[in-house]
Amino acid sequence: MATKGSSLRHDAWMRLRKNSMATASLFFVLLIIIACFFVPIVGDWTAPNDADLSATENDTIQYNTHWFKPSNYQNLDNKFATPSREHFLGTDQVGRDLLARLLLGGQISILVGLVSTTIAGIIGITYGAISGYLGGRVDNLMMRIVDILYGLPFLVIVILIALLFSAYTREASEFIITSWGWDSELVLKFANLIPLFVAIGSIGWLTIARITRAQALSIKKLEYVEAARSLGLSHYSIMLRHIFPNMLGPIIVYATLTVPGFILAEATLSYLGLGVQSPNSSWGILLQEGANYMETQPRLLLIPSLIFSLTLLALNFLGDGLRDALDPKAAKD
Amino acid sequence: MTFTRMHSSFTLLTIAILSSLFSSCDKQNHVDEATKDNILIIGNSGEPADLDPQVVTGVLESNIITALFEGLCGQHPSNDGEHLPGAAISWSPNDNFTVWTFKLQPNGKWSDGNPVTTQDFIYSYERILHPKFGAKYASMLYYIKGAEDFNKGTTKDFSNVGVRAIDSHTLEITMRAPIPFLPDLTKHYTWYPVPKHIIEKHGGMVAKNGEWTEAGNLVSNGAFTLSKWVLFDRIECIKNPLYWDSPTVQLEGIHFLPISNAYTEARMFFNNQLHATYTLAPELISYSKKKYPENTKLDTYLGSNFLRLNVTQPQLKSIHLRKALGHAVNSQAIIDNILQGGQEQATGLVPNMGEYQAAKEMFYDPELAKEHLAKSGINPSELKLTLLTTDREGSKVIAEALQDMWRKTLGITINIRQSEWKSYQKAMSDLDYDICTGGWIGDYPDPTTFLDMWKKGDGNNRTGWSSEEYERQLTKAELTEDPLQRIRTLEDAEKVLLGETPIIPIFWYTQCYLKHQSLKGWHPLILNNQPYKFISLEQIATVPEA
Amino acid sequence: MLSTILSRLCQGCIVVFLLLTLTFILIRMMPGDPFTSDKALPPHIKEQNEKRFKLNESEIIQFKAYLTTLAQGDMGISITREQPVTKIIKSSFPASAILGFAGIIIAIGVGVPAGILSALRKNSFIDYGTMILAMLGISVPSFVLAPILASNIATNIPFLKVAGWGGPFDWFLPSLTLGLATAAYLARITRGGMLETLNQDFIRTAKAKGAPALRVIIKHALRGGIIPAIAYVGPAFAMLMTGSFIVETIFQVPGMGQHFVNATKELDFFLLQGVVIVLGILIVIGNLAADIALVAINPRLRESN
Repeated sequence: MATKGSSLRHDAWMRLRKNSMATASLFFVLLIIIACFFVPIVGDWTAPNDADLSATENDTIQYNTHWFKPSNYQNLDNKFATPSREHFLGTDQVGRDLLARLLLGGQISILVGLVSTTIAGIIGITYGAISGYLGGRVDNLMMRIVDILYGLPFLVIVILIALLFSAYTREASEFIITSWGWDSELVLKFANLIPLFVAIGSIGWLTIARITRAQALSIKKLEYVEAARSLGLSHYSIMLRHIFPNMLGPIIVYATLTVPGFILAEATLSYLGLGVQSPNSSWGILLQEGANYMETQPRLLLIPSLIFSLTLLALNFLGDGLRDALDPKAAKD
Repeated sequence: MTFTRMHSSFTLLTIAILSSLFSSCDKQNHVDEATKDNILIIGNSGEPADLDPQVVTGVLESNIITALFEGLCGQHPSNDGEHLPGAAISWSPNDNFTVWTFKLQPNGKWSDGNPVTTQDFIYSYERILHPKFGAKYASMLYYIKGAEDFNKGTTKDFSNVGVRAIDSHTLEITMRAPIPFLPDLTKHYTWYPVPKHIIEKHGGMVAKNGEWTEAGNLVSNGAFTLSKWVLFDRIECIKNPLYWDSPTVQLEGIHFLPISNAYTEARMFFNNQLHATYTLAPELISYSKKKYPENTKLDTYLGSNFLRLNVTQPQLKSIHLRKALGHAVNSQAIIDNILQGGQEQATGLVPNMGEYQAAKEMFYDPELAKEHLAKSGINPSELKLTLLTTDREGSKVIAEALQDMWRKTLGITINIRQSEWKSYQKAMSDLDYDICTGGWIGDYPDPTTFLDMWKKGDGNNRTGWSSEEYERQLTKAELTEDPLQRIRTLEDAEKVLLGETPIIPIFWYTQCYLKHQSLKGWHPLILNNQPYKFISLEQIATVPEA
Repeated sequence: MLSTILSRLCQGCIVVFLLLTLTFILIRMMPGDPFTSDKALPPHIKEQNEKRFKLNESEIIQFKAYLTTLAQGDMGISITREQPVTKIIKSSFPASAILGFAGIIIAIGVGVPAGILSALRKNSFIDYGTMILAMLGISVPSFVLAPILASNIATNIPFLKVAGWGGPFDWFLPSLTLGLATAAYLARITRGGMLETLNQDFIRTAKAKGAPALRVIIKHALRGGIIPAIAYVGPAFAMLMTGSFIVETIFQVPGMGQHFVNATKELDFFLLQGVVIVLGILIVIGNLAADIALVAINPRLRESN
């Protein structure tokens, strides 16, 4: 059994490798992740003019010589700067470095995608597996509940969850800052995001639940599950030992496909003013702000859109490639 | 079977598209088309809540209602201080401005031919003040003697309210105190008459069902009358031939389009689909100024943008800290770099208007700011303040700029908390904030429209601040008979307010909007309440080209 | 068949009722109230307005009162505008229906052929090319795509307007923006469905027997491969009709999507409840229509029912 499993996985990997689009996408996604999460670490993040306050007034800004200076601070005197050695992609409407915002925004967007998917995955898989495995009336009821939730106005839920959680997260973050002495900026940054994770995640589990249920329904009819049941194993151990592991492949694939969907959901929420809140920014915020300057400063819309769309495209292709590679039925030829 | 159905629908759609191809092709330039027909097309930034002057509270409703209805006094097309005859042909106050007498137009008519009489006005005032009607803007009529008591239900009898019919065309209004600015008030839609006979037909005085304001039912006394209202799509008004001054009216009609997206509105203007807008997004101002300099209008507007400080917050109890925060704000930088709408740096709350001289208490002075911070004895690193803001009118960008200014000048780190609109309003009312962005648009050109709200317990105060001295000055002003002396006292009151700095004025608004060259007679007005009857459209040879 | 439809409709009624109940509860949990605004209302006026909408009563009494009027076909009056909710829905339904219908036609017209094509030429350049194009629909947010279409396409083609809702020409750009995203999902689902069917034994047998390729595809593969796509189209249609807030505001379309966002933001309880009922009914009908279509295409399902 064990060797067969690993060879299956090996086959899948080989199939993925053969799919040149998926491989290219994989590299692109890795590149974006590295850029967003590691490049900012090596950059110089001190605010301009911080050391010398009089500098702004005399208009002689001291630039230090660090090779990468992606300051995320404002500099109203230097807004809409065109790309240069100081600012590789130029600056935005309040003089912030666009590249810096793109990288920092990418961190948030990717985090939203990953964390929300994890939350949605945990809820959805558990719910779907229980529904599919138990079947019958319970299944019918549980799926009707999913139907109802599908129809709920998404925005109401998001605003509500964001508000309910923001009250708690604010208290919690104050507690952490005062009693544990953590860096307040960092704590607040994350506290700010938790409502969004929960809001998107708690809506997004519905589709995953449906897919998991379908998987569970088909797996539980297979001989070895029947065998396990006739041996008198408990529901719990059947689900944990037999159903879950066999569902994992397709579910991971769908999760990959969910990540771009959630990144897009965050962008849409930000467009409506309900997404990531200041001082955080995300790709969604950049796109929304950029769209406002479409006529005047197309660069502010085009560069973020390009990165955003390419990343989403790559994630989608990667997901499709993974599905083609892992789906045993498609694998027959 | 589904496919065949879809197929047939698709064919239908194709036919529909083809058939309209020829009819639509010649309508490329909507503005020129409309100009030929003498129809004004205006982008009106949103769907009105209603067209009932006594129900609505917003500016965009006012834009339509001023076309349909007319108050006692009329708006001059270019001079804010001058009052033209409206529904009243003449008016006069007594010596101390406590009793005003209005003579109505002898041939004033509703658009269905019925005469506009004193009874319509008295009926309207009773309606808006009726406790059961629950008009949100009833307080605009509290200047009438006894009005507040009647509205609050303390007196049940409307005859206790100071409005009286001397005859069918003479109206006498008794004020609660000397009110020299009553003609200005009567230009506000809350003071407009509504047709008694129509309202009685559709449910009576206190009924609210939106029935009488439907196209076909609505009867008005203004230069135009409602001909079509398609919800969220368009409102069409046509010239009212029975209007007393109808020879003056040049336009055949006005179309108001409820375009809620400011960028869409601007795009539609640039694409020649609109003659004018009432707004222009800040992000588009510099673009529009460069590309369409003749069309971009930045006019002074009766509004003030300021920060509220929650004076019940322990650290903000210090006046020195509040002043330090105030003097560290470089308003000019915000105006030049973010707003770009030609706004004026606010040195006080009330902008210059008429005789009122704006205060000069608040200005950018980093040294003074640091001095105040030192005097407050507060260590900047111990300060934990949050700036509450919302997602409207670029207030987020302003908040980020403020955050940066306070960090640079005072070394204070301030966190920004951005909330959606309702939560932001609620947090403000509950004093659940430290500092928050905000603004106020005046309802009528008198300083009290900005000053009354800072009284103790006023629903719009929202700072926790109050001062006996301030309220004493306001009361003194209200009892002053001499208009000039009254203004001076109000100026003193504002100094008391700014001296304690529960608010930090940032800028005085401008009205930024787009206007087509063919539009004549549209002049800058402080409330931008354009009297449409003086507006005309002229064919122009050149069309702005992108 | 008829009994199945009837029982599904009954289930649908329960779904709509529960949806309404949940919305009713959730919208009342939101902070603030419908009368919170930038200019505060005096307490006695606020009280009068709350009384008018029975908001001063307990939630249970409010719900009962709402259901009673609803049973008479009255959805109440919008709190933020003096209009009956039924009138608002009636006037915004046509635009939404047109937008949804045109959107779904574009989605099917683009998505299904793209999906079939890439499934037939799996891992070829045609596959990648069509999938890239299709996926651009999901990868470019509509609030970026819509203004770009408006300022770059509409200004250059004489009969297209940048925004506004007059004749059929004005339908094109909004439904294109709306349809492309759905087209992308549809292309993907069709591709997956087709791949699965093409790998099944009966197709292989048919191919091996030397049946003409095109006939095999149309007669056998498409029939099976299209099933997931049809299951998706039903609910997608409901979502297209009601979930088009962004497209509606950018192209100035007087549709229903804006009410979901605005009624939520302004806490217009009755308007939100009204549009949620419409959405629920549309979802139920959409699912039902998809099921019937599935049975029509695949007679084998009829027996299993």
